[in-house]
Amino acid sequence: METVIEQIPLDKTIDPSLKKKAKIEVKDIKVWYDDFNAIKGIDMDIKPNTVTAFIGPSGCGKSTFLRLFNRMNDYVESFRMEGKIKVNGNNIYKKKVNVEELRKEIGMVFQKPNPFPKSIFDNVAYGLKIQGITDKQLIEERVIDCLKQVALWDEVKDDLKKSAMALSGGQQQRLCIARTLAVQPSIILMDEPTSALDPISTAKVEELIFKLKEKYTIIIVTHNMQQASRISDYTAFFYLGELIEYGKTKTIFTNPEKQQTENYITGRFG
Amino acid sequence: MNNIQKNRLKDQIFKIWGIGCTLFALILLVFFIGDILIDGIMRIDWGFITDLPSRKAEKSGIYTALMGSIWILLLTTAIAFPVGVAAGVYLEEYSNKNKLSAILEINISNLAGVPSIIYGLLGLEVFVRIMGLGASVLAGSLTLSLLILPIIIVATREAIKAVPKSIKDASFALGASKWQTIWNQVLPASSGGILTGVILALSRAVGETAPLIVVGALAYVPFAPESPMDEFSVLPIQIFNWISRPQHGFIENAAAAIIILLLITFIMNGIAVYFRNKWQRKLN
Repeated sequence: METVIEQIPLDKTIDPSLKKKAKIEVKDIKVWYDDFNAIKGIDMDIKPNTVTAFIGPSGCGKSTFLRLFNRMNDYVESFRMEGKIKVNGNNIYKKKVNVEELRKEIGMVFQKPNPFPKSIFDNVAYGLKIQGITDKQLIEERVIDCLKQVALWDEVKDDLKKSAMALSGGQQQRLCIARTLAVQPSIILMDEPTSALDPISTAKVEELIFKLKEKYTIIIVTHNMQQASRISDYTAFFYLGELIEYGKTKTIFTNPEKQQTENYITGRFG
Repeated sequence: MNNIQKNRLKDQIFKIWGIGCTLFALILLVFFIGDILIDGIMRIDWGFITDLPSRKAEKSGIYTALMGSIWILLLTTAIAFPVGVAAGVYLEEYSNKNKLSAILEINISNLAGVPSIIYGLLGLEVFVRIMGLGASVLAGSLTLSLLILPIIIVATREAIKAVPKSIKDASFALGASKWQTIWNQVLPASSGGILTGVILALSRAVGETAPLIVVGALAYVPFAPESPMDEFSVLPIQIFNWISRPQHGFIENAAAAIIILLLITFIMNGIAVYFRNKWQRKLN
């Protein structure tokens, strides 16, 4: 068993900012679903503690690409890939890599809020419980801390035992983020996290992402151009399985190199 | 008559036809239950439940058969529940989707349609003779377990299929292994559906007669079984036996025993419905 990133013991005094910063290097990644070539050779470096936005029309491969980082495509039967993804220098697709350990380091928030049909408390505590942590005090402190980080604490502190299914969509999504934070990842992947939310909830989640950047490396897939320009430091534009352009968000949105990028951003296609 | 009126008329005709069909089934059931109640309800008292069988109808009770049915029910649950659920989980979550699994799938559905007497013959050969269990409660339970396994497996698979993929994704993304995901998320979320299937399968097992007769369950057993290796009778066999007697008293007894058996089945089905409703509420 080899962990990708140096694991810091789950000690309650831990300060997440002490965590090793996660740098990602992608080398010539190609992906197929059966005969369909979904990603056609992508190279990319992602800097620690930044927000990187993946944009592009539906079916361009950005979600597939995002799911490579925590190996969620492993369950797709027709999935096949070539190339390397290195996190802090370690290839996460090496045979020796323990996928469960990898996912504790690289968390994920999904498009549709997907809380477990359990209580609010149990939702956040789940990641710790599956690691075999039984220290009730530690779990409780971590749950409270994570709920505070996502600014949900004041809304739910009196009914932690209530089913998470009873929360609003926006609250559910913040709960899902809290659940991800509880296992203390260094990278958080977000797959269109606000596409199912109303504008007010979206604003709250965006604010949260901006704050989380201090401690985590965040990659976010989004269809919302304003969102990409508001919250990300870097933006990558994908089209038909290729990385068309990648650079500082400001540059991409004000002065893109490629005509295709400009057309997409300005809404002329996609 | 224009088109709209024609369609309305068709609508009405079908509605009336549907009501008629439903009523037909219901009336038959009401008639049957009413007939049984008239024949048997006066016969049911505490003695009827606690008395041993006897040659005299008015002294006869269902104690041994009822105890036999309870033993069979408990042992069948203990065998069929873990095996059926495990098989369902395996087929749904672990097995690769290839030709072999497709063949397995079709055959499990086929097994659910095999006449119960065939299972009786299988039980007679394998459990009674080859394994040497004799005409025991255990042999009967194993036979009934085989009979209801396909139902439990299919119900388990359907219940697991109904668990949203997003829940599994969330669990995996937090670093849970496959087994942790199944145990902590998939099974709790599908437990209502699984329990419903198991209870309905068991309520079928309680009413089975043919395979148990083949296995060697007796119509007359002087004592209630005390261990899995004892001889036994069950309620349906007792009813069958009583109905074939000429004396009127035994017909009354049979009707009374049918009421008890129906009561057990209705209660089990009621519990199944309760679990299903509770489960649906939880997932939505």
